[in-house]
Amino acid sequence: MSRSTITIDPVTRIEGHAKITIQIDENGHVEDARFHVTQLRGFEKFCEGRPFLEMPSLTARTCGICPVSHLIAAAKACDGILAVTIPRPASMLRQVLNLAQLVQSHALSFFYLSLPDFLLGMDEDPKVRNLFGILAKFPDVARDGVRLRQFGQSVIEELAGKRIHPSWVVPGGVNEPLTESRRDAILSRIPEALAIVRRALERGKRVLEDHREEIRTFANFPSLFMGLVDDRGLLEHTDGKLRIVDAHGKIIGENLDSTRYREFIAEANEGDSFLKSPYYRPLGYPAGIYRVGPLARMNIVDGCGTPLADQEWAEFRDLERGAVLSSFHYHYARLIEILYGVERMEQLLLQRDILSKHVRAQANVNNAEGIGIAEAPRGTLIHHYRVNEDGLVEWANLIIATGHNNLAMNRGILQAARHFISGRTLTEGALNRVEAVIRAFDPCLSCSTHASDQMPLHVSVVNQAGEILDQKIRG
Amino acid sequence: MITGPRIKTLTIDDKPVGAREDETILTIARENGIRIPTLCHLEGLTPIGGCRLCLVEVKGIARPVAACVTSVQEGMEVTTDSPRLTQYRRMVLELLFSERNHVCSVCVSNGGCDLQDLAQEFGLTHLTVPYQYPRHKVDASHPWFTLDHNRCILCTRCVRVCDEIEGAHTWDLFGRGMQARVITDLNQPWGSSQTCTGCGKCVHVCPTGALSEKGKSVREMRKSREFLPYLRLMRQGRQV
Amino acid sequence: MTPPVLLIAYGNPLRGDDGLAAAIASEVSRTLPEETVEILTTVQLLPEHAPSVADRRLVIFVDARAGEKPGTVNLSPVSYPDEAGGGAALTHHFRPAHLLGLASLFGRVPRALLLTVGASEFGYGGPVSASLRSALAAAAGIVAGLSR
Ligand code: SF4
Repeated sequence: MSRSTITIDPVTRIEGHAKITIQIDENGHVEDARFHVTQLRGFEKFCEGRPFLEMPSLTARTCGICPVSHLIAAAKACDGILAVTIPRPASMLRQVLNLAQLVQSHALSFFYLSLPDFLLGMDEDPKVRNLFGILAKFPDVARDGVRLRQFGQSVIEELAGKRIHPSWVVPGGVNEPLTESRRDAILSRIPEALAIVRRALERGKRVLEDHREEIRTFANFPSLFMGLVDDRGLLEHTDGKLRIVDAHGKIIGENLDSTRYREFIAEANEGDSFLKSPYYRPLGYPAGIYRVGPLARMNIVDGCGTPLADQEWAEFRDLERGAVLSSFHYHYARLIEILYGVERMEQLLLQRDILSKHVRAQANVNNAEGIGIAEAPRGTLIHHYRVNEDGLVEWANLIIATGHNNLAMNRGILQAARHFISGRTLTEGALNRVEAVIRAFDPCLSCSTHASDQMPLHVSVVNQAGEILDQKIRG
Repeated sequence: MITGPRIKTLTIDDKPVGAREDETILTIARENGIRIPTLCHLEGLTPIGGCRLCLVEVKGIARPVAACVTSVQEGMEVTTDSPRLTQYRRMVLELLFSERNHVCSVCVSNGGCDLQDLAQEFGLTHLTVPYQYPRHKVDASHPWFTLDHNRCILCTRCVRVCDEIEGAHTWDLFGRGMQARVITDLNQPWGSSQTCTGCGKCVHVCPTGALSEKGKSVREMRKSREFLPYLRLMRQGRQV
Repeated sequence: MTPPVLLIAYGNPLRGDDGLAAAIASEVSRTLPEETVEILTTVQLLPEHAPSVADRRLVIFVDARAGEKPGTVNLSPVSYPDEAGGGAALTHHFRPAHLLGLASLFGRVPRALLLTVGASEFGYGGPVSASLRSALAAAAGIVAGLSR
C-alpha cells in the first residue's frame, strides 16, 4: 500500500486553528485522538517580581473572551494573600458582574454559534448556516440574540465602566460602590432579558428533541463532574466550594477546600499537548477524567436557587437517572444558566445592602499564598499565586476551564473519530462531526468564536510512527 | 534707597512680556499663560533642566535652551513651539519610554501619569527607537510605599523633595547612563532605611507610577501636589 | 437626542495602518460637534452594534484596506445583502453590510457609506504610515462634509 508521508513541522502550526491529531493503528483503526491548544505559556515568568495587586489586570489580558472571569479569580486569589473576607456587598457585586459575563458569553455560544446549526440544519450550506440565515428565516430569534448580548454587555458597563479591560474588581472587593441609578438601569432591563431567555429555552428544548442522534453520540460517556456550589449546594459561580460528583450523580467530593486543590486535582502532561490535562487525583489517570462548565454545574448542584431556573433544572435532571452525560446537553445547560443568571442578578440587585459604600477590605500582605477559584462561562478557573513577604509574585499557576475539559474533549473527539473515520482519509462529514463536538464544549479558543459557519480546523491523521497520512486544513 | 530686582522685557511667541531679572523663561511663560511642557520640573523644587522637555528656541542662539533654568534677558525673543521643538520633545519622550518597561495597562498610575499625559499630547502611540527591556526589580520593602524602577524616568523629583522640603535626604542617584537609578540611603532596601520618615512626599511628587502607595490597584494611584508650594513658602518664611 | 450621523471607525490601532480609521475618527471629532455626529471606534464590527445603527440619517463606516493602493480614498454605498452574499462569519469577517442587515431588526435601516483608505503596513506595534497623512486629512474632510 502506498503511503504519503508529510513531516510534522511545529512551525506550521496555524494561528487560531484548533489542531487535532487522530492516531490510527496498523489496521487503520482509530486508536487515539487529541486536541491541541496553544495556551499562553511562560506566564509565570511574566508575572515574576511584579506586585501582586497587578495580577487581576495582568491575567485578565491572557484572555480576550472571558477577561471578567480572570479578573474575579485573580482578585479572589489576592483576597487570600490579604487574608480578608471581602464585604458582602462587594461579593454580591462581583457576582452580578460574573453573571453578566456568563449571560453574554452563553448568548454568543447559543444564538450566534449553535442555533444556526439547530434551526437551519447541520447539512445546510455553511454560507447560509449562520446568524444571517437566522436573520432571513427567524428575524425575531436574531433580534433576541443581539439584544441578549447587548444586555450582558450593558450590565458589565454599568458596573465596571466602558473599558475593554475593567479595573473595577480589585483585591479586597471592588473599587467603587454601585449607584442607585445604575442599579435601577440594570433592573429596568431585566424583564426584557428574562422574556428572551424564556423564549430561547422553549425553542431550545424543541430543537433538542430533533437531535436525538447527536445526543446519543456526542461525547456521551461516564465521567466525573466538577464545579462550585454555595453552602446550600446550589448553583454558584463566584464564591462557594468545589464539589465533585460521579457519573451516577453521587457526590464523591464535597466541600473541597479550594486552598488544597492540589490534593484532589493532579495535572498530567500530555507530551505534545500545550494544555495541561487535569484529573481527579484519588481516581488516578485517566479514570479521574472530569468535565467542567454548564453541563457539569447542572450535574453537581442540588438546585439553582432561583424559581424559574429551578423548574428547568428539575426537568433537565429528569433526562437521565444519574448525571446527564451527553456533552450535547452543554447547550441545554447553557440556556438554563442564562435564565438563572438573569434571575439571580435581579435577586442580588434587590438586596438591601447592594448599594452599601462598604465594598472593599484593605489589608497588607498577610499570606504568602493565595488561591482563587471562580466559575467562568466554560467552567472552573483556578488562579494560584505565591508571593514574597513584600507582596511580589514569585510563582503563579493558572488552570483554565478548557484545560479541565481537555481529557473529556479528547475522548469526545475519539468517539466521533471512531464513528466517522475509517481508513486513512478524512471526509468532510468527519470534520463536521469533530467540529460539532468541540463546539459543544465551547472551548475558549480564539478560533472557537472566529467563524460561525466553519471553525478553522487543522486535523491530521497519523500512524504510530507519527507520520501524517492525511490532513485537512479548513478556514 | 532700596533697589528691587530689575525688570527685563522680552517676547515669548511674539508676545511682549515683562519679567524680573531673576525669573526663568519657564516661570514668566507660565505667568503669561504660555504652556511649555515639563517633566522633571515642579513648582517648589529647585529646577535642574534634566528632562529637556522644556527646550525653547532663543533668537540668536543656535541650540535650544532649557526654559526652566534659563534666566530672562533684555530683548530676548523666545519661541516655545516649532516643528523642531516638537521633534525634540517627541524624541525625549520616546527615549524615556524605551529605557524602562512602561506597561500602562497594568500600571497603578494609568490615567494619572505625567509621562502618559505627555505621550498622549504628542500623539506618541509607537516608538521609532528600540525598547531596551532592562531588568529592574521592584522594591516593595517599605511598609507603605512601592518603588518600581521599571516606571522611573530619573527626574529626581523624589531626591529633591526629600532633601529640600522634608530634609531627610533619603534618596540619591546611583550609577551612570543606562545603569542609573534612584536609591534609598546607601543603596539599601527602602524598608530598612534609617533616614526615611515615611512622609510620602516623594510618592506624590513622582510624575509616574515609579513611586506609589501600597494597596493601590491598577489605575488607582493619584498624586496630589498641592502641599508643595505651601511647604516651600513656610520654609522660606522661617528662614527670613 | 441621538445624533443623526453615526461614524463607525473600525480597525486595530496596535497594527500599524489598521489604526487609520481611529485616527480619522479623532480628526473628525475635533472638527464636528457631538450633536451632529456620534463616533464609535471599535477593533471590529459586532452584531451588538446593530441597534445603534438603526434610525440614523446616515451611517459612515471607515476602514483601512490592505487590497487597495496605499493612500487612495474610496467612498461607496453599503446595502444589505451585498454582492458577497449574506453568508457571514462573525468577528473578522463581519462586514458593514451585515450590520445594516441586522439593523433592520431594530428600526429603519439608514443610508450607509463605506469610506476606505488603501494601506499597506499592518505589522504589530507600528505607527500609521507617515505617507498616509494627506489621505487621512482628505478622508476626515470627506467625512466631515458628509456629516454636515
Ligand atoms: S508610569 Fe506612566 S507611562 Fe509608565 S507605565 Fe505607568 S502610566 Fe504608563
